Amino acid sequence: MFTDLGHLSVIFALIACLYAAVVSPLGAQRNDDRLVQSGRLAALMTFPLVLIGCLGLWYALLTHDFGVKYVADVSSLATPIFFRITALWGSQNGSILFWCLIMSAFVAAAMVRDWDAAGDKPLLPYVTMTMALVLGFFLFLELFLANAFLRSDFPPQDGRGLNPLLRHPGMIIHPPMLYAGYTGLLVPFAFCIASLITRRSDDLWLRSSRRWTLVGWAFLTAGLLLGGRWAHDVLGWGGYWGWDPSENKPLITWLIATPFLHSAMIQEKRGMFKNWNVFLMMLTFASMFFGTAFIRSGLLTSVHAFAASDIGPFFMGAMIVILAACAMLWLTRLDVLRSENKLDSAFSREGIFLIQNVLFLSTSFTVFIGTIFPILSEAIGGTKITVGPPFFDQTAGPQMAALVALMGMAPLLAWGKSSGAAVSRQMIVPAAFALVVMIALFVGGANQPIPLLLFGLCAYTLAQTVMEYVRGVRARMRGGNESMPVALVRLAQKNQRRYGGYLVHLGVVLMAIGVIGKGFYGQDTITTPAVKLNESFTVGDYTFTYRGIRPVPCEFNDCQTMQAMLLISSASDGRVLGAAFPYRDYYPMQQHTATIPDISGTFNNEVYVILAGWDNNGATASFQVFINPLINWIWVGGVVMILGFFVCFWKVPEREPAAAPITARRPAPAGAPAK
Amino acid sequence: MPIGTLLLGLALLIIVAVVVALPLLGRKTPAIKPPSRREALEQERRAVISAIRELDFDHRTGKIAEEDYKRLREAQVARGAQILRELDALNDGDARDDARDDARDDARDDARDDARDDAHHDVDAEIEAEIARLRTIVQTDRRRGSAPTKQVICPSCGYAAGVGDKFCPQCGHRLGAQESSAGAMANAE
Repeated sequence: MFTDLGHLSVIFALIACLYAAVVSPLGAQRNDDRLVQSGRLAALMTFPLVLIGCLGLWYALLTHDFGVKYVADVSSLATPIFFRITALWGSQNGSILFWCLIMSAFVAAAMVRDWDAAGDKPLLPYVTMTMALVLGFFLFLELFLANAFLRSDFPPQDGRGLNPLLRHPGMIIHPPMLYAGYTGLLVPFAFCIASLITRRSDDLWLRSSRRWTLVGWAFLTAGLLLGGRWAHDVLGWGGYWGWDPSENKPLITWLIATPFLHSAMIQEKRGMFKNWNVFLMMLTFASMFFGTAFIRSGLLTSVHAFAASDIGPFFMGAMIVILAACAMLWLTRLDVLRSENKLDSAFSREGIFLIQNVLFLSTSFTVFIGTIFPILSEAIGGTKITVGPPFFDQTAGPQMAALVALMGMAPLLAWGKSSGAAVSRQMIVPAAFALVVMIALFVGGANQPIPLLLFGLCAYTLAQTVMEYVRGVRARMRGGNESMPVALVRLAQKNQRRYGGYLVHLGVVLMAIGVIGKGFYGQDTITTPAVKLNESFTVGDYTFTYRGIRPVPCEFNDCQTMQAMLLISSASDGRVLGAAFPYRDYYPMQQHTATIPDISGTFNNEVYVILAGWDNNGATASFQVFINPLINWIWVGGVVMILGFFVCFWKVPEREPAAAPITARRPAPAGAPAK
Repeated sequence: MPIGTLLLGLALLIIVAVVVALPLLGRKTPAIKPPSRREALEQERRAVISAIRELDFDHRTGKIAEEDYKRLREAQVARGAQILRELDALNDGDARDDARDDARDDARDDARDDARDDAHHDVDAEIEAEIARLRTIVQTDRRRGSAPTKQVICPSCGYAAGVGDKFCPQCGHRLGAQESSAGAMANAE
């Protein structure tokens, strides 16, 4: 009963969306706030309605209601309760419903905000309309093309169980994070559309949606990181990134949303780049929906193939119509989006932001072309050609390195115009630090020129970013009687966006160190021929001795697990360092094999061992061993990036000035009574 | 679908319909107020303050050459003065009707603005003081019906000094003919 009620509730949510999408703009047209408020409440109600829908499906999953097709597809009697909850987004139909839940939460959050206090009430009717239309589109998909509530006439006794790949903590948080990232970016998109419809030339939409953009960006970043961690722990790639279409899709969106965060500042501060910001916001919206369409349609083979279905063409067609409408709207508003100022000098912060924007977009375009190359090659030449990691490494890699370099330059420049002398002076200390690091690395044996240069670049940008804090703290200490810690805290409080942003930059540099370490110094060895029992092989500084293989109980009771044991010792002095237990799970129900690596080693030198296969009950076995230097800095960098977001986002309590100073600062007109 | 589920669904639909229909029962009020010039100016004033604050900070951290700093700051302060002139013109109309209400509104607006602004309490206070000074002069002149007072904006700190001042009363910078001819002269009226 609850499941059916959930189904009805989702139908009501779609009706509420349609009502909000019609009534809100009608209220604006007739200048009747009652209609606008009614539409607003209808949009707000979508959240509890979709939540009831999700609760209905969760109820079916928890009570093993295999009469619901989706429940039979993604769970079984053996599925633990935890994974029955996460199974809601374990396959296409449920994941669209879950996507709707998160989107409706953002819609509701946008609707409950105090629009009067925010001063952007003129945008409300059209923000409501845009958000309701997009949410309505997904609810329509859910109800008519990918219904998770459908029942089968002959319910099975047991379900198929959750996809083994999804039984990982990273997979539990990763999809909600990505969904929140995508749907969070819907809010600034809606503000952008509302601003265009109301023909506003100011930056109200940017100011009003600034924090929402940050939230969407942060969730997208966290989702990408967690996806990388999941791939690292479960997929047996040996790394964190495989340039898989499902990874590239959020990356492309991230590569467009990030320059938007920067260029939005130019419009807010200088009244420039108005068209560019609208273009970037529309591109962000387009990238997330086209990416989803490509992967969900099965046009691109990815690790998310489990989510492939026939909704792709419909999805794509509808999105083309929506985006064409957006583009038309934009083109008819070009006259109100003229810049208020001109670029004083290319040697300024806005100048370098422009270069950075172009570089970000070219990187995202490179990744996009590489991702859709199989489709392009098939359409043009009739043969599907997939480009692998070397293509992405060689094309996107240098552009990303250039972006790291720009991160080291941009903070030095002021708005308006900067002087070469001032910039050069500020480069001395970080450049000297980079030189020292490069010499130390060279002496330590790192003599390949490219990674040496890249590490130097990272050292320079790292030092430059730290120096920004130092300069800021010094300036504050000079200006007032502040101790260093107080100056540091107030510095960040006074300009949260700038100093939170620098923390994000620091995180990116730390990640870059991990990428360079893994990319240039990583080792990947497959044992051929297979290793015999008690035989040893050496990879890098480590010697591995194969000690046998054995069946072990499966963690989820629905698979057969074989686990190998390897003794790890130092290749130089034979000292035993530990043991590795890589294993493989075979799931007869899904006919799926999962290769789970053993990850050990030190913080700076990860040892990643995969059980590739075995013969004769384990008399011989083959292994793939990766040595991943510095890879853990990627995760550290990710955490620093998220911390940077919190610094940007955290709302510092405003200190309410006393009444007397206010009136003193802004005198009342003559004739007013003395206070 | 069982009848119980249908009844529950109907109850849910009624609840949603009632919530959505509630605003429709009230009196008609305008959805969109005509754009207020005053709000736009206040927003621009905040933007100017923010720009000057950033410029000062960039100057203090050595990112910008002295000459560029002065030029850019002068331009911002001049823009700030222009905005205040417009704001004063708007306020003046109100003041004629009811000076007392205007004063109260002004103070209330200020309180709201100040609460909404990010914590400007150091550089901002200085900028506000400059702007307030400009404003006081404008208002006093207007009330007295006297000719507008001319001022020179100090290129070093942006303070609105009197036209005859040789040195800036705020920072002591020498105010010469150069500043005036370079366009630093900001006519307060």
